[in-house]
Amino acid sequence: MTIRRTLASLLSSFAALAATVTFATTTVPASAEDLVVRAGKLYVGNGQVIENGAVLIRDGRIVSVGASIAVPGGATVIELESGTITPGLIDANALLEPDDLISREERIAEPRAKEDAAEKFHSFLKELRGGEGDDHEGHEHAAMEWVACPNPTMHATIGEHEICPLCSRPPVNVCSHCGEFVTAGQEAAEAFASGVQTNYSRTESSDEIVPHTRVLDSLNLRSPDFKRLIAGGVTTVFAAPDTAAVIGPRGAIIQTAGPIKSRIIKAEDAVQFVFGTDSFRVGGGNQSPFGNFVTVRTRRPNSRMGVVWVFQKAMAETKRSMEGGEGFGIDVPEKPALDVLAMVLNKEIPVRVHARTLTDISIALEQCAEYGLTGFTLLDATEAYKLTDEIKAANVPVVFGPMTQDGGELINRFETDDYRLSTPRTLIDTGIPMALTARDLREEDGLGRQAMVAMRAGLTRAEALAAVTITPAKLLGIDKEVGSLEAGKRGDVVVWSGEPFDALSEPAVVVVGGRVALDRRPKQN
Amino acid sequence: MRNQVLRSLVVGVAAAFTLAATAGHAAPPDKVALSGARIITVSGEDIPEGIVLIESGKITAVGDMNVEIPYDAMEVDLSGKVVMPGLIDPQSWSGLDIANESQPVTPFLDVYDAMDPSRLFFEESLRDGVTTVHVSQGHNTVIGGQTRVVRPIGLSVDEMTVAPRLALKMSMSPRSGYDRMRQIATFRETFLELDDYLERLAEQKYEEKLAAEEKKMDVGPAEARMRGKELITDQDYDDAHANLIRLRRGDIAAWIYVANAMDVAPAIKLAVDEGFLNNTVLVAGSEAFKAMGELKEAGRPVVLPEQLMYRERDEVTGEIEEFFLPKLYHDAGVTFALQPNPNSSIAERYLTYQAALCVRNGIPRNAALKAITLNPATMLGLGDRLGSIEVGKTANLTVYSGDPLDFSSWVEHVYIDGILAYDRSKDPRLKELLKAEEKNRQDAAAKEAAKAKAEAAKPAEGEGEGGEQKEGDGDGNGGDGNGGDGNGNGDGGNGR
Repeated sequence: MTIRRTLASLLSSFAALAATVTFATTTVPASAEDLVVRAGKLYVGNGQVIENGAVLIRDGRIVSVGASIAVPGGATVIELESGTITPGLIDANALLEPDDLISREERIAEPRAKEDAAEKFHSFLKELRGGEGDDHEGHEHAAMEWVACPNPTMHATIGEHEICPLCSRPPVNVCSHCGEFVTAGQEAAEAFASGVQTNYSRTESSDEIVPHTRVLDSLNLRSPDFKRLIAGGVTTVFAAPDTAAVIGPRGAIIQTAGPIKSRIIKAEDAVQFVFGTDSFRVGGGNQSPFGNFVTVRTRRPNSRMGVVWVFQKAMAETKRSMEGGEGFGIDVPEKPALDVLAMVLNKEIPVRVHARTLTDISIALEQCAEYGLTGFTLLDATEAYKLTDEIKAANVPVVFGPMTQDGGELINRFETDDYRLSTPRTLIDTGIPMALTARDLREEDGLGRQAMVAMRAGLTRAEALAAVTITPAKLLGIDKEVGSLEAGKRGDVVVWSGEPFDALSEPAVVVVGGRVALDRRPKQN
Repeated sequence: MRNQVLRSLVVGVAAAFTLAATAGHAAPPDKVALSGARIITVSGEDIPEGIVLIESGKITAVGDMNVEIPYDAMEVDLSGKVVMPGLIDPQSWSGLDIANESQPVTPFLDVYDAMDPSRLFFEESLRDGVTTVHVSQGHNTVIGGQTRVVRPIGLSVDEMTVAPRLALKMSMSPRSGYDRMRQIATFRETFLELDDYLERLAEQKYEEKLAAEEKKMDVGPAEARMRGKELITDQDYDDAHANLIRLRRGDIAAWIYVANAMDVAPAIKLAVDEGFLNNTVLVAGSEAFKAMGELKEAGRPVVLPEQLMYRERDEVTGEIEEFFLPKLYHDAGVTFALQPNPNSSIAERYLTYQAALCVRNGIPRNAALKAITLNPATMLGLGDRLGSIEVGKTANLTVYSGDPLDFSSWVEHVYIDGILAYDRSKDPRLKELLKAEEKNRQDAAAKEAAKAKAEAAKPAEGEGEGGEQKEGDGDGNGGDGNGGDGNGNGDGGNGR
């Protein structure tokens, strides 16, 4: 809801404004697209803090920032005396929800959905049993017979009262009489994968090497996920792939609101390498090169060394292809993939590497060094605190997170328990550029709250702000466009209801490219 | 697996915690004076800088800095800190090994038998400033077992118990495998069967009396039952029925889970019909707020769901509508308590953050604080001894490094029954989690000091010094990381 003033009230508002915003000596010519955003405090994003600061945005770009700026006639003014202004937040490793029918989970309206699912589930079981008797008193639990599902990983992770959307069968490990979970079947389930749900629309599982695909092609730019990002103050994201492939799709740098044309800053950016166990834990299950039915025995790779091998094979094939040679063996990447990798080796396309553990980060450093891929960006990096010197020496910036609070028995950390809440502090103190990310977490776990946790763990507000604005901007190579409130940059502004990242504060107004994407002030009392 | 190791570690830690309370002395001090902090009493105005006196586990005085401190009291200087009543977790089954039994009606069960004091959950509760936990079974039941109020410290359930056999956990929302008709029918059956049982018991008692007097049955069944009724004593009831009778008498509360709006009316009707409405607390699911009229009319307090922001998606337009649940209840005048949301990975797992969310969404600060202290205390029937800092109440207090609603504040100390049960500076798990931060600050400070010293001593050779110091720093860091995890990954410091 934007505040639009009619022409008739312009003069009076102009006069009123004169009382609150002092004029500069130079006047700025008026324009219909002018927007002035003012608040009690303004964080420029370069360390500077301005009391009663305001920013003038014209045609989507910042014209001026200061304590006293000229308000052109006809300009829309948005102010929140008790609030603060920061640059729009930037998530450098966001995992977006495509929001098509295949991927959509009914997390919202939970009770209704669960009820329907439960109903469906139990009538399905009844059918299987051929009729009555869902009272399991006095019977032995009997686990479902394992029936082949085209996606065992996905199947193993569906919830208690759900049906697999692929094969329309219930989970392996439920009693066919009463639907309760049974431990016997759990092993069967675990044999196929652990934990993470596949999202069909955004996981390309035909091959481990898919840098010729683009995340942008699987995105729904009208997905409600963007509204959730906006509500969290995030105005620009690197839309990253998940970690299902060893060499994954190329991500895109996009804004979270505005006309579609101006939203895409970079349609295809960096390629992602994944070291560690994610490529065989996440995603559709690795495919046998023969296109055979996938079981535990034919799936590949399923070890860290397998992952490294797949990576090195791809690199070797790329080099061979660049020299005009023929591919060797059955698992040669597709030609378009080899072309993209050739550009990577020629340093025409940047590289991002996902690695969590000490081992995997070391492997990442080693492998990239071997192929001359310096200056890559390290993602997740849970155990980065264990080898800060090596990371620093390799000039590698880090996108750290998402952060969780360790110690709670209900928290599930992948691949390592050696989590340190102090890692952001460590990285900054060692001089390693560090950006925070919320990945696919939103609302009270979103990017602004990642910054809140970082502050609790020892970062100053200025450091936390930098980690979600200018540092990711620089890291993504878009710091001329976004990351701070400076003339010439895009008009991406967040007005917080209090101090940024405080528990009692939240984004009240979000502006992207000079357009108001969210305005929910005032809310209380 | 991993759980085994954790278990023994936690038992050790729990033991360390209890020992810490007695460390260095024969017994914890009987009189303690917490002095200099801002005191949030919850029941009244905040005291900007004041003193809380504790004696034999109870609060004996609360006031400003003029409160007289007994000569033999141990004085604890809390200047700059904030003291608040210990938080109360209104219901959780995290302390149990499994949330529910598979049988639908189990009022004879008691969480006492399933509670595990070594569970990480209790350690976490303490670390988060929670001094009282209401342990109950999960929602997947019709009539579940008895609940228990415990303190999250102690090596046995008896040591931990604050109030035993407090309530019967029930659910009006169908348990898995049941539909609503069956759920409600089960309730009806249970109480009908109870009545039946009482009749038979009465008849049996009269028969026994006659048999004792060697007489023969002299009246019809109806009369026999009437006469036998007066002969029934509490010892006669069997386990399966005893607690249902206590329920009718009002000796045990009923905590009823209502997930959806349509569960509210039947739950209230059941309570009214069986006469236990005045001892009922409703545990609301996300959608229950749509029956706010009925909730308000019933006049019973409500425990809100863990996820405070309810989002509903219109199936046709795809629009998402948001409801901040506490505000709806607050505006309707319904007393409510908040739960921690353990599903949240960052902040909602803390009760203080849930309260902060309430304030952010328009609920007055004191009302939000009450929802995590005094309200749950009252709902548990323990409002006379818990939930606020008042003279005569149990000395369950949490000391924060700053305002409790500021996420950068940490829980520094927790007092339970007047004994220091938690001290952050000695918390091994937190120390590990924040280890590098400490070390880095020390390193950074040492570096600064050395640099300053070097510059003062040798003004001409600034550059070289800086480089060497960096090396030393790197070694220090690397060594720490490796030593800490014993990875043995041959990181010879800077060999790579």
